[in-house]
Amino acid sequence: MILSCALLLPMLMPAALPQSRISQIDGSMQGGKLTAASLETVTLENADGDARDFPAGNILSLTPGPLNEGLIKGEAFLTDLDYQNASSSFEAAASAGGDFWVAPYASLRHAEALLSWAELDRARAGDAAKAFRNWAETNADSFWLPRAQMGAAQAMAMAGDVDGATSLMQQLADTAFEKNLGRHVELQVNLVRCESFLIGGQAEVAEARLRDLVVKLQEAVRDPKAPSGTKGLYASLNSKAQILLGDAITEKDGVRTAASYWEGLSEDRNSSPDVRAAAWIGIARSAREAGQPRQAQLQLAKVVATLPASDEVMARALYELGEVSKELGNNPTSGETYHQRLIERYPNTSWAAKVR
Amino acid sequence: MFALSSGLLLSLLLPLQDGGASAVAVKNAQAARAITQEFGLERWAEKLIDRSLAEANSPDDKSELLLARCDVLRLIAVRKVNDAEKLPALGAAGEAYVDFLATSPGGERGTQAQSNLGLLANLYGNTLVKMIDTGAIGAEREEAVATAETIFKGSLKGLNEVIDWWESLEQDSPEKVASEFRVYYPSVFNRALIYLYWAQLYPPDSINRDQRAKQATEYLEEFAIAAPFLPSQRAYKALADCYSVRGELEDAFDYYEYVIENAKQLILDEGSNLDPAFVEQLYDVVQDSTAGMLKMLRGSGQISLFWETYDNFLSWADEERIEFSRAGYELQLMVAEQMVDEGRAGEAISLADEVAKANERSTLRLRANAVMGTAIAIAPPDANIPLDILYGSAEGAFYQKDYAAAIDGFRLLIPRLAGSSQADEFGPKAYYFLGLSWARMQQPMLAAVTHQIGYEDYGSIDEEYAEKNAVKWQTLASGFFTRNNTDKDLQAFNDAALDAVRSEGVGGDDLEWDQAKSLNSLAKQEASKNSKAKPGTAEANKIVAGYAKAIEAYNKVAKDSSNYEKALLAIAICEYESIRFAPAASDRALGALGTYQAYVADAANAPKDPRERKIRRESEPQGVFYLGRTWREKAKAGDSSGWQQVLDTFDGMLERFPDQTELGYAGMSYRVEAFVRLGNVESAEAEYQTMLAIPATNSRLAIASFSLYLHFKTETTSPDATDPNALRLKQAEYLSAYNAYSTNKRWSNLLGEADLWSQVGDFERAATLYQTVLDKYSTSKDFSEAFAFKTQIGLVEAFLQLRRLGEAVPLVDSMYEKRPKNLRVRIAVVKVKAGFLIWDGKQILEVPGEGTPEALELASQMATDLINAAKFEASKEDPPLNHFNYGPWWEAKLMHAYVLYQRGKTIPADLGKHKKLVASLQKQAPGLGESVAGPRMAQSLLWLLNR
Repeated sequence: MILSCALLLPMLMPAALPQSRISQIDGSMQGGKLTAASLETVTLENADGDARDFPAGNILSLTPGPLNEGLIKGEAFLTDLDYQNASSSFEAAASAGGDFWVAPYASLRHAEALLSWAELDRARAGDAAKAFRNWAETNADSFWLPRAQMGAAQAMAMAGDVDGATSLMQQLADTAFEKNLGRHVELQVNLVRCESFLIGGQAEVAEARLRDLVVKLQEAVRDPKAPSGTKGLYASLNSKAQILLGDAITEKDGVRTAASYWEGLSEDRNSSPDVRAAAWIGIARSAREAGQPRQAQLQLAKVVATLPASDEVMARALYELGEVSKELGNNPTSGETYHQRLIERYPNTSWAAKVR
Repeated sequence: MFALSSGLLLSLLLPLQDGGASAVAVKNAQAARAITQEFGLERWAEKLIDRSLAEANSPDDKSELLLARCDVLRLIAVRKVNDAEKLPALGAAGEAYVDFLATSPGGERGTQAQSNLGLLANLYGNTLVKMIDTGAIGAEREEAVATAETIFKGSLKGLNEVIDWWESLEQDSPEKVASEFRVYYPSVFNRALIYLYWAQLYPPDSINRDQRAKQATEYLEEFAIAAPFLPSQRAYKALADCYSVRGELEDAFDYYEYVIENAKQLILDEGSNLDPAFVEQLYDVVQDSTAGMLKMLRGSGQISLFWETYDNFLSWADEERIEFSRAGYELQLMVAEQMVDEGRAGEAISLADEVAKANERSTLRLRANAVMGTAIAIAPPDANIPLDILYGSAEGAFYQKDYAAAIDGFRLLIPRLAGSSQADEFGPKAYYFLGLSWARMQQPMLAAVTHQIGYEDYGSIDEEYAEKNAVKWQTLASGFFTRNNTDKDLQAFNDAALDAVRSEGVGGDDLEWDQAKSLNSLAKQEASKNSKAKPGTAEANKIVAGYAKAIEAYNKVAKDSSNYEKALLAIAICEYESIRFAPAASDRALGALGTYQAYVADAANAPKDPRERKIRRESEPQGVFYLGRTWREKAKAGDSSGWQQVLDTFDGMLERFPDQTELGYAGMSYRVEAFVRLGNVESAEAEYQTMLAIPATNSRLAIASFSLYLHFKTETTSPDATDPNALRLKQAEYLSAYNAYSTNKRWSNLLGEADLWSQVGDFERAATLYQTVLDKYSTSKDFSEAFAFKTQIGLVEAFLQLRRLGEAVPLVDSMYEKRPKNLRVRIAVVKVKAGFLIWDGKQILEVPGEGTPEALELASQMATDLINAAKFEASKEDPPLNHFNYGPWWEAKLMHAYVLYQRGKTIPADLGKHKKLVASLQKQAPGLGESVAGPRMAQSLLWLLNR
């Protein structure tokens, strides 16, 4: 060290970040140390130790932090679709101690990891449902209770307990009303209920309810009085509902009947990327079923070429585009090219696993 | 940091030695460097070096050129904008320098190579560390690290040599003093930096990282104490980096702060007295050091202090009204990345956009684009991000040829167009450039649908980009369709694109015409590929379908198009070309040609300008030509009126269309054929003579003569032929003409002609042709063993007739060895051994043979065998023939009689036997076989009877 100490400024080393963050329905974000997270209030503390309460009904999401090693590992495994290790890591993180929120949050992520696993392997749905139920029993007043119950409903529906799932969602809707958890929770619960009907094979019921829900969501999206932070969520829920409605029609009336629904959505240039992607994929499916692989190829190419849809949707489009291009004799582009792009761009999707 | 090191290294001047290379080698080496540096013509530079190396003789010349090759590689690498491309290019150049130095070049070139390698090592380290920091390097990291180590080691070796050399100089010597700041300190500084970069290639807390960072620290401390103020501050900043790398954050913070405060203080105290360029350097030092500090704070999670430091920096920059240096912009991008981490997408986008706009032509633009892309990706769907920023980011990536980034950028923009007031401004061109990006990524299908959507969604909004999207869509769609012209979906896709182009009023007359031509061309290719496809087969149907597609496309050429007349004719030609594969197409061809001729006949369609007149001048004769050919096809298919139609259609064609002589000659050749088919050979020969007199082109004369040859061939074998020899002569003459005029001579036709000449007794011509076939065509693939034999025996027989026994004997011996049982060979053997008789039409001539007793004995046996063989063959004819009615039997008998005649001359027991034989024959067949084997036979036997 050649520098004299006189030249040095006093060191200021604050506590390590990042902290917990909440996003609110008014669009604002707040950060700080999470000291409480109930169904009614979330409390954050700033660097000076001053606490601030936020009504749970005004909060869209709560992201705790910093995550401990087990949680970080679990998230990494989950990203890699390594469900076994992800759920084990979350389980270990839950018992590692730390801030009050670590155990419930890690347990919730454990249940959610099982739910993701169940999406690929329905045999896991029972475990996921059980994990969610256990969680809800021990965290009945947690801010994350609605999230856990919605997860539980999805898992139960996957496990075949559609009535249980829909009834749980009804209970949650009642709780949301009683606790004034906000319209955004009510609409999410509604959507999960519809999804549960669909997962459980009750496509007709799902379709009827989704038609109502789509109308409500579109009103919510257009409502000028709706808090600015909810706009994005409502738009996202609306997209999901529109896609589920298409899936319900497909399930009930077949691919070809659904094609006209998808065509309506595809022509709306204001549709979200996911909706437009789902529409083009739906049209492609119909074309392929009708023995028109070239039509299917052109529709799928639109998804891949122009949309920044979610990874799973893009991966599916690339997978199917590769398949249909092979069917067409790799013309004008080799199907392998699309599959290669799928592996490179969306390596952690189930579709990439299919072509590896 | 890099700016300093490169500056210092470029000034590195060691005592130089004369390289000893020739002026030419030096000149070429300099030229290669110059054309790379100034014009970026790297391939030319490499070729120049390759060529010069091939011509270089001395080791010095080669060494000079090899160094130039290293420099060219370095200059190529430095020009790369994208780090992912720059890193391997730098690696290749670094390894080339290392290899070059391994040859111990010494002297000036060795020093130059060491200097350049040092420069390159820093650049490589800087690039690689930056990529590691930003996560821009993946699986290739391991290989890059290995390359880095090779380069670092090579570079350190050179720098140590320089430092050792300087330290070995006598104290206070003028050389030592002069080179202290120009050579020694830069080398020490650069050596330290290499260790610093090297350290960063290893993971935190590893021994390698710590050891190398410590080594760098030692060198930098040594440097900082003795160096002038500015280099000293740079060294302290590098020291701070070393501490940061070693995880000693407090010390790192101290040094960063120290450098920042020192520089600020000097500006504050002496700013107005300092050279502005020096002040700029001080500003850069502050920015560089602040960037280092922020990087450290961010990496260690000290975010509050990060923001505090940044705020202070901004306040200072605002007060001083500084213009950011590269370090300042890099600092801001780091801040933008932190904003992204905190979810502050909008702020991050704005900041990155500012950096991008201020660095349009720099690699910073790519980084700024990447940061913007990340920020945009995390922004909520309804986030209010100005579309011009999104668009600018993606378009910037496109113009920087980073098409993958451009695609990501435009795809982030597109969903935000929905409901935006700026959608109409950016939507059409976003789709356009997205389509272009896909095309540049070799994804034509993705490009086509992108332009399609761009046109369909915004076609009515932005005229310029609607046109551009439509044209690109149509071009790609047309390509798909022409390559898959039976695909109805691609046809519909293409039709929609055509409609788009039409409705935009672009594309001109040529659009449908060009497309139809492409389809026609594809159909022709298919027809050529399967030219022997029989009507009704799948291959034939495919070809006909291809022409039908082309016809459909020609039908789309608008009536007011300048290509309309050509399209009408092309439709007829497509129908004509289909006839081969679907005979029914001939009626359609006639219909289409009728339509065309009606169009031409209508005064309303008379050509109005030179272009139209040219089209008419060229098309009208073709209409007549294809009409005649269509009638010819119909006639060949059995239409009795067809040949007369051919005659009428082509009548006077040459006079009607004097400019189209080739078509006129073709018409005449078809008229020759038609006359022949109608039995009017006189007129056919007259037409042929006219053609000869003009003269018509050889290819047409060949076709005409072949028609006449076929006619006489048929006539010759007709049972009604009154003078077969005269007919055969004609046959030979026309086949000879065909062979003379044909541009594609075939040995089979030449052999056929030789046989004919042989049959009519012109053995000279026959022998010449047989010899030609053997000489020129015996290696042809289809020239089989059997044909070789046929030609050889033909030649032998011609030689025998010409009494050229000397040439015949070796051939006969060879053939007899290979085919001792063949009748024609045996006949030839008998003739050679015993001699034979020739009838020249007037008299009998005797051709002597070997004539020895042994030869006559063999000939006798063979002649007897030949008689038996001929008898046997006669009995196998259908219906079986009496051997007296079989030509070969008579030949055998004649030979036998002649052999007996020869034997009787030397063997008393055989004397007169030939007479008895002939007399016996005469009793049984008084004409002596004249009716079967010609007058030669009877005359020859009578000649023997009288001997």
